[in-house]
Amino acid sequence: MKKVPGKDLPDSDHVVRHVPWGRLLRDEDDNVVGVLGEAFAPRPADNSALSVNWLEFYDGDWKTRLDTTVNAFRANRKLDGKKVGLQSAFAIGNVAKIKSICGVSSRGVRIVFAPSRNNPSHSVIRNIPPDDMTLLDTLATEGLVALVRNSDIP
Amino acid sequence: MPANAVVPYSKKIDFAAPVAGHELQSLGAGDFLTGLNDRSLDRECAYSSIASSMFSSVAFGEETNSIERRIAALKSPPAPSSLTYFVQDASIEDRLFDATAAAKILTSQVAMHLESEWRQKLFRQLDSLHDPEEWESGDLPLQQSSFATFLKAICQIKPKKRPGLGLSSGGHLIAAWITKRDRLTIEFLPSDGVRWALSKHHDDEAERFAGQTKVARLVESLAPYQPEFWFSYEKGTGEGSP
Repeated sequence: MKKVPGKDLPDSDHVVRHVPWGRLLRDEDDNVVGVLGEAFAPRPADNSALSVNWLEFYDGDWKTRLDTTVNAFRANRKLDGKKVGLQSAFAIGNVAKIKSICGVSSRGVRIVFAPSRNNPSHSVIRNIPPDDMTLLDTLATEGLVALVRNSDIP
Repeated sequence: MPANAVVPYSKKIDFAAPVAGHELQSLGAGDFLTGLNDRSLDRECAYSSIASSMFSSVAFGEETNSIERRIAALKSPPAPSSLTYFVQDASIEDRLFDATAAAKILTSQVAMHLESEWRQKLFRQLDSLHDPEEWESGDLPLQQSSFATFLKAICQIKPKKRPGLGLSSGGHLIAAWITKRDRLTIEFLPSDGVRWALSKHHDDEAERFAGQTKVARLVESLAPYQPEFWFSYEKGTGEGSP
């Protein structure tokens, strides 16, 4: 597929969302057991748009793509003077599944390629309702195919 | 500081103003006076000392009707500025420390409702959420108004099972109770507001429910969804049960 800014990502592809430590679902002993729905809530200033990275932007097998995506994310954060917490994680979701989940709320969610110079695989999930807890929780459970800790990626 | 130091209930600590030496002395924390103006470990000792003094007063000198008074006080929590002692351009480390310290002091006002182990675990969870090494730039630390709502909820629900904790980007505390694939998530908002969402699996299908109400009605709003399933360690609870 041609990687054209503004184009929708293919349904068969995946997106990677960074989940800070505070938005990971933990049990009473602070063991990570999943992701809070809050991890998929856009910030008020982001106009219902959620930043993600397009996994298949890079070539290679699953692991190579994920390693490359995460390292590019880290490099971009460093340029902004921000850190990526060791205890944070990366949640990977399928494009079609995410759209299917959001489609229940009839908000017309789109997942589009939106690269920047320092973040070439950057994409955006548009029209995520920030206050729909049921939807956000569903994304955090059924919308994910994998959750990888930052500390596990070299 | 004497372990049984008694502090009058009327003694309020205004962290917005520099604390005079004689005031700290009366709290038995005079040894930590200089720490308040330093970005150093003395700051932590000062807060711990003051929190301990308040707890000691609860343990030894309070009338029983102070329980209701303290709960009522949570309805009008102190403005965050009065619980935060920092100068302009505080570092993120100091802002995070101040947020957790203020929460711990707020907790001390209802300490009699929380088992000591529960309280200590809560403090560790709050510290973990505010770890500077894990802090997400742009997030707000725990908002005291949200934490006050959380404390009221916990005092009402009295869960045997402790929740995992999280934090929204806006500084709202989030509590989650998990049983296998089922989860109950509650976000604690300012002004006694709560939002909750739960999912329970029956025959591999998830049923989802959500609500928004005031903390005084939280127990009632969760009543149709078998709160004992979430808040207790009863045998047999889990997927598709009871």
